[in-house]
Amino acid sequence: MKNIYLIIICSFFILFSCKKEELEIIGITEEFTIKSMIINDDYPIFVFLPSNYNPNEPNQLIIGLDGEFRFDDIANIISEKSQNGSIPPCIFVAVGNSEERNRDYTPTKYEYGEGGAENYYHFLKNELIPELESKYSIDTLNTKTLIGNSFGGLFTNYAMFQNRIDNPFNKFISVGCSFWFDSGVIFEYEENYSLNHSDLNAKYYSGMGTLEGGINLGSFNEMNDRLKNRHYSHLLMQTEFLEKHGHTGAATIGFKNGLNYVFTN
Amino acid sequence: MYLQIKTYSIFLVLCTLALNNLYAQKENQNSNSVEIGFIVAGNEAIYYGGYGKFTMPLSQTKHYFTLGASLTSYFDFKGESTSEAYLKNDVDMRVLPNLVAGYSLNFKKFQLNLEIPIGLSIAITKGTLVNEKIGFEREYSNKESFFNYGIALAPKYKINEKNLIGLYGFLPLVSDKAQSGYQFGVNWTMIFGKNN
Repeated sequence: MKNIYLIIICSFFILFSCKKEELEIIGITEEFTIKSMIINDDYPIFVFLPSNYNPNEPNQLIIGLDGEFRFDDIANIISEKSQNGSIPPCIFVAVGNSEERNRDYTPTKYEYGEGGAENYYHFLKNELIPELESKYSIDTLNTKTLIGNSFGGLFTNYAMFQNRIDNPFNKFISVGCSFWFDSGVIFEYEENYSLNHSDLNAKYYSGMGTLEGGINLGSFNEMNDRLKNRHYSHLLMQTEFLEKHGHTGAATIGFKNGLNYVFTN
Repeated sequence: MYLQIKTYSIFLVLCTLALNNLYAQKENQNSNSVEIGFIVAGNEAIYYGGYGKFTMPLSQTKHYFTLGASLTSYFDFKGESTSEAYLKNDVDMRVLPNLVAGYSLNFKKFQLNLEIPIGLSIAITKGTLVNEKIGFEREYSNKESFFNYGIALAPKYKINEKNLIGLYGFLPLVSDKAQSGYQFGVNWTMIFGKNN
């Protein structure tokens, strides 16, 4: 009888302690550090050259935020997509120094944030991207992709609402954007953009976990409606609630859905 | 390896069996009990709530297996509100009806309970977002149900033959802890129908 109990208990744990095997990244990974003169800080840069990276042709550049946490997840997705041919030749770069995300990803100085987004945007545009373009074969047009989650999603939205003519990005993937930050200050950037631009030539994916709190759920719908109501003729957007996921759990599935969307013809 | 056994689960099972064989007192048998507790719960947000549980022993001879039913509910009262962007008529809660398979060890003054709650976690979120800074009001609503399971541990101190007070901890094993979060709390157990 004792053994039967033991078998029942062990069977339960075996059954419910399973974990999906992680995908292997197929391609080349590299790492280097860049010193930003604008921010006066060092940034580890994690590079993934997937199997479809072509050193003889301009490749799409995909930049991910929170590099230390997100590199593996996004590289896995891109690795899979590059193998099944659902993404053009590309290079993925994740920007580290995530411990300074409250400084770098937030547009205003507020509780939990230091308002360094403007500097960080200029660091990406004027320091990191030129450095990457000198090292790798990258499409030099304003066709880059930016991916962020949480505060990273907030920065992704912030970057989308910057002056379009010299914005290096035209594809934006935002998951679990911290709309709550500074009582929804990102809406002011959206409003300011609309006052100075008649069009937004970009592809935008935004996802939000359904288990986020009321502030984010309500703000997510409000932002989506505002963007739709601007009637930008060249804005392509897909927004979705990621069901049964919270703030953290929504990230990977949102990245995957976002990459599927922005690289669909 | 697809089937990866979590070592801490095996460790807990072995520890329990070892405790039973080495220290648990056979003369202290389990009885029916009702337990209530106050908990702090969550993962990405902090929730406050409580639970009630009825437990009956399945065996009172050598092993001390129990079966019970519990209802847990916890709430987020604030969310990420600020003075300029806040929630009106806000409900953000989880309701967890569960069956609880357990193993209860009795010592002279203490009782140690290892439990496996299995059931549902129902998430309910609704209300109105009022953003005065930007100037909009927006209703939101979401209701979802999830399979819930995990491991609970409850060490208790025997005040007398009929009453115990103790601590309660629940470790969810679902992958997304926003569906069912960690729980920590205090409890009070009332025993009835004591057999010895």
